[in-house]
Amino acid sequence: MIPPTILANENQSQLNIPFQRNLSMFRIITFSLLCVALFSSTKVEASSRKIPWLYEPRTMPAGHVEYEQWVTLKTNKESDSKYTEVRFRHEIEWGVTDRFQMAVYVADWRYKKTSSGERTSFRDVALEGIYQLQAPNPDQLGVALYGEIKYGSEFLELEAKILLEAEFDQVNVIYNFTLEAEWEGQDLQEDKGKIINSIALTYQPKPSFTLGLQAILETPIPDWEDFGDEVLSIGPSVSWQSGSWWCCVSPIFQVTNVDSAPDLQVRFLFGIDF
Amino acid sequence: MRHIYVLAILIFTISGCMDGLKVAPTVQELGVTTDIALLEEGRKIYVHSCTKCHNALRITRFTQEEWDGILPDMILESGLSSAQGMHVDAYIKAVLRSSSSGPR
Repeated sequence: MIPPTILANENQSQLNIPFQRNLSMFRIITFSLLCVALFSSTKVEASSRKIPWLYEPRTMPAGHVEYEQWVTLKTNKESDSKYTEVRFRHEIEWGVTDRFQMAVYVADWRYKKTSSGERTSFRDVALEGIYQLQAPNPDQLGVALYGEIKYGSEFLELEAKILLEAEFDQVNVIYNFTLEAEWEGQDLQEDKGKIINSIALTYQPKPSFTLGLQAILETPIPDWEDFGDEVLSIGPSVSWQSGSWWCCVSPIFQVTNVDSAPDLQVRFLFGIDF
Repeated sequence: MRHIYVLAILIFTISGCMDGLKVAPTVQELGVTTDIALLEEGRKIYVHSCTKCHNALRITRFTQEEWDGILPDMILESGLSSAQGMHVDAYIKAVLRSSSSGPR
């Protein structure tokens, strides 16, 4: 007779096999895409992101293709001292026209550790489009519309944004209004919404280097009835661009007191034109 | 939620007071009397084509020598025609000439 502890360990290791396979597959995909990007890079200029938590209305020039790697760390929840989550996104962007840009999130996946256990799981794939109504320049405010659809196992999300940007020489002011609608569970019966207001101020001392400060206010709408607890997070950002690649990083800290929301989030983005 | 709307309005109001025209002054502000159509075309290209990829930087931030190094690369990168390049070059030279405080 097999002791129950051994049986439990075997079951545990069997459960981990698909996750390990997924992890290895994603590593291979990421590494392959980066290799292709590095060796086929010819453009001098990258379409860089200056702030990881907001989108800018400036879209990619027609014909440009870019690979973006996202890593987001979420930690320090008052409601769960063991909570740590790392989210990964592999994204390919394409400038369809000078005003319209599309992106495919090849995979969103995450590692999550809580007091009840830890797991690595695939979340969704997604399609994103940004249409620029007018580019930011000294004569006018930049305006763009953003739409996104995410689909995963028992998960569907629609997201719409209005992107605004005012530019003044080396200083930019960026504002995003976001409305999210999400359906989860069997037959997608659980639905909820979220409104996100984000604003950022950036300063570009050199064309390749940008400093920023951003504030993000998230307002959940559980079951589309009442507003939930608002979470306000504020933090700095730094962005660097060189040749065809760029990267930016930003930690944001919760300044409200919502126990179920992480107190610290760090997002790192890396992009390369090819 | 109203706090962030107040913050957004405040920031956009303050930034609205910043004079965007100092970045790329209009041809009227330059006080020139010749080649006005050419210079206006140059400004239009500087403000609308260059900003497809990056901010329009204040023209007087750079000296004429620095612009002579920057402009050919940017014209090539953005795919401007030689005529469009000449228009931008003429506009930049006119702005630098009219700048009473000089470059930088």
